[in-house]
Amino acid sequence: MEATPALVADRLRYSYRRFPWSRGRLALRDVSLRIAVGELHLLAGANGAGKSTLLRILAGLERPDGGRVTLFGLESGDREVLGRVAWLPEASDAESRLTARESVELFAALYGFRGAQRREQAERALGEVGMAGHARHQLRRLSKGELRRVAVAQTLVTGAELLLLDEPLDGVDPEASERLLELLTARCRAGASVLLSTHVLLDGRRGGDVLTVLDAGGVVASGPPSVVLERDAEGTPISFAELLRRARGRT
Amino acid sequence: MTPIRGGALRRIAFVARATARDLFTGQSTALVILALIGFAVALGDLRAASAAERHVLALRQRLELVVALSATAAVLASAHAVAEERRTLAFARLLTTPLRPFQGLAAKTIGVFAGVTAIAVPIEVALLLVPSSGLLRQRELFAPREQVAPALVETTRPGGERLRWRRGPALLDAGATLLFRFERDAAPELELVLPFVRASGEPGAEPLRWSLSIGGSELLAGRGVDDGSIVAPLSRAERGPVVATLRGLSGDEVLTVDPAACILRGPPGPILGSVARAAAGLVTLVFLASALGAGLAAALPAVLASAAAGCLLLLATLRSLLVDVARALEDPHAHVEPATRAVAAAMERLLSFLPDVARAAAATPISLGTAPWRAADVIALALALAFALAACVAGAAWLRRTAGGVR
Repeated sequence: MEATPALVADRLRYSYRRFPWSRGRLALRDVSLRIAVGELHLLAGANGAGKSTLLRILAGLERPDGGRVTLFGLESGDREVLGRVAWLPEASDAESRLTARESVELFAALYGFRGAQRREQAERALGEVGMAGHARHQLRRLSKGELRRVAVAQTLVTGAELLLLDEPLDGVDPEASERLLELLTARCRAGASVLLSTHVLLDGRRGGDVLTVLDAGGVVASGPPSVVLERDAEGTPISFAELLRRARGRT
Repeated sequence: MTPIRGGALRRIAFVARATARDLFTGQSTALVILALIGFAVALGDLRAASAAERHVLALRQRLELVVALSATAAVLASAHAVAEERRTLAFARLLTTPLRPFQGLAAKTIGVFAGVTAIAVPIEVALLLVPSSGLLRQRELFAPREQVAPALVETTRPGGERLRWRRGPALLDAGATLLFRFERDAAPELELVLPFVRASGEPGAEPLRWSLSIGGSELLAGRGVDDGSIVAPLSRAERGPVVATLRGLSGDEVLTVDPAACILRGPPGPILGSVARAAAGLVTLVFLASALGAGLAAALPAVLASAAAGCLLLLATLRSLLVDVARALEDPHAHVEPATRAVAAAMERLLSFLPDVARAAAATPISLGTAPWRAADVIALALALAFALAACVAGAAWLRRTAGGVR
């Protein structure tokens, strides 16, 4: 018998509407997604492809116009799901005067960690993302990439089983990006599931079990990265722009 | 790594602590500077009949300034904190955690409240305890006293015509009487306070001779107005209402009395009562300001939310004054347009829904011969807290509807 997937999104549709009765702009059209337990799922797409909207729907913040989301076999928005899912938005709290450790501890506390265990978890999470040396620095003093790494630590510290990460690598340098991907892969091997969105195409050899490419609100390709990332005649993976051109040609 | 399930109160406390910490680190210097500026302004000269009155007025003015600054700081800080959380999607993010929207907004309110009161309360305590101008200098001035207002005031004209007093000053001339009925058993520790507003008459007019009797027996008699008010202790205990009668006996002058200020006054109580009321008023007002700022900022931009919360607070603070104005305009004898009368009636109805924050505000109870705790004070405080709760509930409902204020 197949294990219950961490997330199943079935034919999601969503339109941005100024008013409930207005027609709106189509943001997602019949998007289906399935993330198995222990899977690192990459969601790639150009700016405005609908990645952030999809993640907000999956996190239960937005209600889709059509389609259905189940998390661990439960309906999205079910109280049982809260605490098992952690969402990282694309924006960072760049003005906060909290220190990196305080901000990570806050999320640990929200997910129920107490006292010494909370502090230990916060320090460990900061260490994992390479920010242990900045634990006492206020968030407003950190660079964009450092803020994103702290934000990832805030998500990791929750101990949630499904992580929905919206552009966690935005502004992060290549070395730290690689480290974060390795870290997330290790988390997945330990039983967590991760959906990571990015607007730059990742090299499939560095990580990711499944790669889904969104374009103009629809899925244009999905599968193992080695399959999705076609190679040219010389064996070099094709560029993201080329991938989109080919996918659009097919659709 | 399995998280331990924590209670909602623990989560609220943690978010509130982070909010207060954020606020304290960033804004405390600005708040302290503001308070110091206000304090310096409040040290200006005051006009008062006596040094004691000046002392009371000065302390009240300084405390009112602390309250006003604290409430303003709370409105600005909470509106800014919530608006910033909405802008950075931090609120939306919090809503995907086990924290509920109401809990999140309540935590922000409590955090701002804690941050502001942590600064305001020590300043207020310092003002109350300053050796040269605080409560301890002339503590009898600040001791709370029971105050009983007359249930009925009746004037009898020299011709025998009887009129029930409703508002405004009452006139006493020769042959006229003023009757005050207090629904309180007489007791020797009570005293009757009857302030005269002024005496008027032609130059060289003979001063009015008057007498004051309580329960039929004459207590005092005098000529004209010497020190502006009569303070007459009740000599014996007696069951039933206290009835005081002021009679104009002879003379050409007319005495003007303010019946609204005539009271039966009890002995001075412990000074701690005044301090407790002042503290309760301050913290309630700051909490209301924080909740209004946060609740409105859940739906409005920070500037609009601050302005709207400020207006609501101002309306609530000036409630007594505005109700008086509305009633004066509604009076059928007032020469006003029907439309103005209708607006006044509508305003009075609207104001009846607002808590009388001035009653609860910190400085008001710190006054000469202030009354002790009354049920109305507790109701005003409870109403202010209910308003704060309603603001948080409404803001949370909006946040839930708009995915953390993103839409």
